[in-house]
Amino acid sequence: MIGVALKAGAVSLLRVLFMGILLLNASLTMAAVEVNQQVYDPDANRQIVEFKRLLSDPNIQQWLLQSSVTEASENDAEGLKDNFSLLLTQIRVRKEYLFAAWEQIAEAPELIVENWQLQMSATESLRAVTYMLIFLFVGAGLEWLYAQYTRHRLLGLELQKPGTLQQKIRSAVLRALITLGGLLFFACGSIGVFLSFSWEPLVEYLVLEMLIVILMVRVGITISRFFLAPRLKELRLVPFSDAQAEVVHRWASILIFLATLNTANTNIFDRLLANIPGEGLIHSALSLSLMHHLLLLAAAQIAIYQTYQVFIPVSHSAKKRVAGKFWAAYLSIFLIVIYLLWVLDITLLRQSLIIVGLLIPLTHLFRVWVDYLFDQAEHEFQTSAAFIVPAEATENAELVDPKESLDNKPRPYDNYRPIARRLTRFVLVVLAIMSLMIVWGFNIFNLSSSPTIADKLFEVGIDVIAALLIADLIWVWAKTYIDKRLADYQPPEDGHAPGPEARMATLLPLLRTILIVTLVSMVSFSVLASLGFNIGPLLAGAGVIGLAIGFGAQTLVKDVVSGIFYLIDDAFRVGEYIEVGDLRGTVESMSVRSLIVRHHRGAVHTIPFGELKAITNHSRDWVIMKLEFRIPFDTNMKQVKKLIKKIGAELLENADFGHSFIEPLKSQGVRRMEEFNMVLGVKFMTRPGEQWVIRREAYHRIRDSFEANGIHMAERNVKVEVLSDMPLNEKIKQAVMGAAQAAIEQPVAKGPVPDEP
Amino acid sequence: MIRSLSIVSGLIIFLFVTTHLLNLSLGIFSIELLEQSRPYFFAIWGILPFELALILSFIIHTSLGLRALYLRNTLRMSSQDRVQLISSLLIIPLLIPHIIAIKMGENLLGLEPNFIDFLTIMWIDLPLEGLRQVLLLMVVWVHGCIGLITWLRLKSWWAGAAPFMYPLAVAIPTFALLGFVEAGRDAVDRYNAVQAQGQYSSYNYSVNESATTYPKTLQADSTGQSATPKVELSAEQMGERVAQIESVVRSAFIGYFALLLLVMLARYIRLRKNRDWVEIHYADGVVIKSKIGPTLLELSISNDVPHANLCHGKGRCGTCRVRIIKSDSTLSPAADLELAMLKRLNSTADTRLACQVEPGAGVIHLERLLKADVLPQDLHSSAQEKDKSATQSHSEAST
Repeated sequence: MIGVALKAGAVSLLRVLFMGILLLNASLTMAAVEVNQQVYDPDANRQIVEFKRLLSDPNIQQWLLQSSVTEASENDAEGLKDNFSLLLTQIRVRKEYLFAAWEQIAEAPELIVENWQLQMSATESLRAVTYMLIFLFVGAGLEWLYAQYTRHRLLGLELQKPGTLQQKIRSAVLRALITLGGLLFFACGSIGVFLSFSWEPLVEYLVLEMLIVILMVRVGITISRFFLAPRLKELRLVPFSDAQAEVVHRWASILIFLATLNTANTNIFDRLLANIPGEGLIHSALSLSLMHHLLLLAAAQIAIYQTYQVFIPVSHSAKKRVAGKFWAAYLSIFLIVIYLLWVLDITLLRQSLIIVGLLIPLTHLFRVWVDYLFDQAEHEFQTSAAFIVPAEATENAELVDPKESLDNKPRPYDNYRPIARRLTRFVLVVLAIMSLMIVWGFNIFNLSSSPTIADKLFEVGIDVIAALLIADLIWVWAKTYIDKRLADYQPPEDGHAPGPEARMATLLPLLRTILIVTLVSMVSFSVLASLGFNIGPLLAGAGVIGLAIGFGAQTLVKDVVSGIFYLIDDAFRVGEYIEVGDLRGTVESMSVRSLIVRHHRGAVHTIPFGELKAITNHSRDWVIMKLEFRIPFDTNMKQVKKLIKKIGAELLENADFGHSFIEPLKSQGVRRMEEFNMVLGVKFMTRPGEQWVIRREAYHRIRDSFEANGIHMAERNVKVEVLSDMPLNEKIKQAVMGAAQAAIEQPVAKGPVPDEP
Repeated sequence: MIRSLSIVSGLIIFLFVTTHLLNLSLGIFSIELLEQSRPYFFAIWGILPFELALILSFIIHTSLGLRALYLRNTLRMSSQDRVQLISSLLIIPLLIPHIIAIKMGENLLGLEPNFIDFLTIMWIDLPLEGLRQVLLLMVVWVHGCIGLITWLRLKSWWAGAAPFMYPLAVAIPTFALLGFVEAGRDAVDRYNAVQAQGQYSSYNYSVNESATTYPKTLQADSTGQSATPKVELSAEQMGERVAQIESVVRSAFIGYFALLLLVMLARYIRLRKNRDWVEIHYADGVVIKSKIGPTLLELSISNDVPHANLCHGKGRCGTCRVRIIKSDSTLSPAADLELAMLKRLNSTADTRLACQVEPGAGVIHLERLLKADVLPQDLHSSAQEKDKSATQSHSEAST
């Protein structure tokens, strides 16, 4: 299974929220900088207060310090050297802070407590705790109330064993939604009561932070439970065993809790110490956050190790084990690097690294997950279709080796698998780009008004990546579809006419080429446009050339397009006998533009598809052949019927063409009366193309049979009545015959000559 | 007998708590209304038989709880049972200071208990007491509601009434807590106003002073509920008696924890002999293996096997009943309670209540007769068709 491969992903799944928090934490610093820039707007009174507050913020002071260092070089273009020296200065300042923090690490908690008491009396703190308890109780009460109405539904979801993947996902989603609904009630109750109390500013800040921690942790755990379902194997969306799901879920919960608590603590300490003058306190806050983050790092490392321990022993293939080791090491080193960058306070680099570093394992993880879901769906389809397969499978079970039979299983979702993969990757990459843009401080919606080179480069980069990703998505979809059609195509066996797929097999590669050319040209146009080239003339030129070619090749295009439609109609196939207008013959071959038909006498007609109008196809499904015999009026019809029936039965037995009959030869009785005879109708129905041989044989046998039974075919004769009793001499007979000659020789109207290849 | 005793005593206590909380809810409007309405809400509980019943209920309910703890086979249980057990253990230590302060304060210090005094103490002098009181309220209410609902859900009328009762279970404590907060803030505001007037410049944290002085200050602008001490006491006598109260509280704590420890010790001794293993094969293919001692139901729950148990193993509902297919273990014989229930359900001879059977070592094959997500209303509809209930439940379970 993909267990181990997923395992690494699972670890990174744990990371997501945790990193998200770190990111949030860091973005506060960014936000602070942005706010500071807004302060230059002179109109708002409130902003001055904000400005004062910001000035006392350690991050801002640091920022100002750096600004003053680089002020001299600000007028020049920002060179790489300047940036680098700025970074070095920043690190140096940070280093001093770190030393100070290290020295004060022992006193830090004491300072915090002291400061706490300074701002809030013990009575107030206890009251705050009481308030908190009350609003949490009310929130929990509302959630309980909600649970009373939904519990039975939830229990039903958990007990019912979902049969299909669709049901499974549906149950898991419903379960998560019900849990989140309860959370919503909790939030409503607690926030409602929270709002109804009046709070001291500091207490309010603190309580709000705690509330956010509780809500975040619970949402995170719900999400983790949605995927892992540690107690319900049936609802689990990932291929984990019970023990694995349990461990991953536990550590995910612990890390989410620690990370949110950590953020809240840092914020609270910063807030507590923000208004106090003096360097020392700032550094003690720093030392505390250092410790907190170190603790978080340690917990994360333990989590990685534990998860690794759970997944490695069950993986059998060495390759997967290596992959698991690699991802565990990757994440562990990644986290350490992030922590070091945080310690050195290189914000931009750290945030970018977080985004890029997370993108890689996440892409991998989601890819494996999508594959797993598709495997599940396919497996389900195959087991549900199993009752159809056996008839065929048992027949050639000995002949086909297992691997091949595996490949023969229906794979209904194969077309969508690569698309789903690309789509998840697409979404992830777009998200990563967006967050990178936010981190780097670019305004996504206002790019054109920022004319610096970096912005321009960034803009171009985004355009190019977006165009490439979309083109890639379309290309992969079309390619999968076409390749699947081509792979399914089986060339005709010798002696059999190729089906319509044969022509598809020639057309699809053509379509594929057209598509890739179109995509490449569109992407290159878009890239050129975003680079600033004026693509107007290019487009116009392409348009003019296209127009010229279009006029010139009008009929050609018409031929190709109508050819595609005839193909879709399945009007004719190679080897069929067709009739187009005056022309008729067997279809010999088809090209992209035209159809080649050979007349049964050897002439070859080439007909462009565009010229085809109505087509008569003589080779479809069945043919009825009707025969006529002229027999004398005194014939015994019952006997005739019997004889024909017998012949019909004999023909059916014939080894050469008996199998071609659809309906046997049978008599239709007297079709009409003529001057000298009756017309006996006989008909039979066969497969197309076999009628001629059968007709020949039928004529032959019927004649023989009639002959043997004394039935003669009617002949034209003239009866001359002589109204005299006297015997006629030879001369008179001659005269009479001469008189009747005219009647005999009266020309008979010629019937149509049946054609025959 | 014991079950109904436990329910009746619990109900009496719950009734008392409810009246108390309803009274407290009035604090949302004003502290005076809260104080004025107090005598009406407590009217019943002042009458001797009722007071006696309350005290008796309290003692009985506590000792029955300790007995249940002693008889409990496993400490692994469903989350609701866990909440019930922990809350019951928490109630006594949270209650001791409150109850002793009220009773002893009345007898020793000659203080008639009233809300104004208490709110002042809880919000200004000893905020920790306020916190404890809030905790007590929550724990008691949760414990009471769980017990009540577990009992009521088996009644036929409950399915109809439940949607209207549940909101009540949330609304009462919410309003009581809001009343507590509102009245407390009112008290704090008044205290601050008095402070600002400079009438009382000195302020310290002792109980006795707050109990004597601040009520008076509040009394000045409240409507004149008499809270003056019946007996005039000097400051040192007062201090002595307060110390006495504190020592009583301390010894009550120690006594309670010693009792608890004793019960746990006794339980440990009782369960010490359970070393053997029992293996249970369920009809749907699940197999569990566990140490003997707990009942079949407890074994199911602790091994995450879904098993219907509407009354939480009290032998009242019969939803946990199982059919013993094959067993080479010694099953504890059915008591009267179980026999009566099985008879009422027209069960076959091989049917047992999983919550009552304590299996010995060996292998048991059994079948759960009811689905794990059975609802109380399903129970009543099938109980009405008593004649075919036994066969029906068999077929239900097998489908």
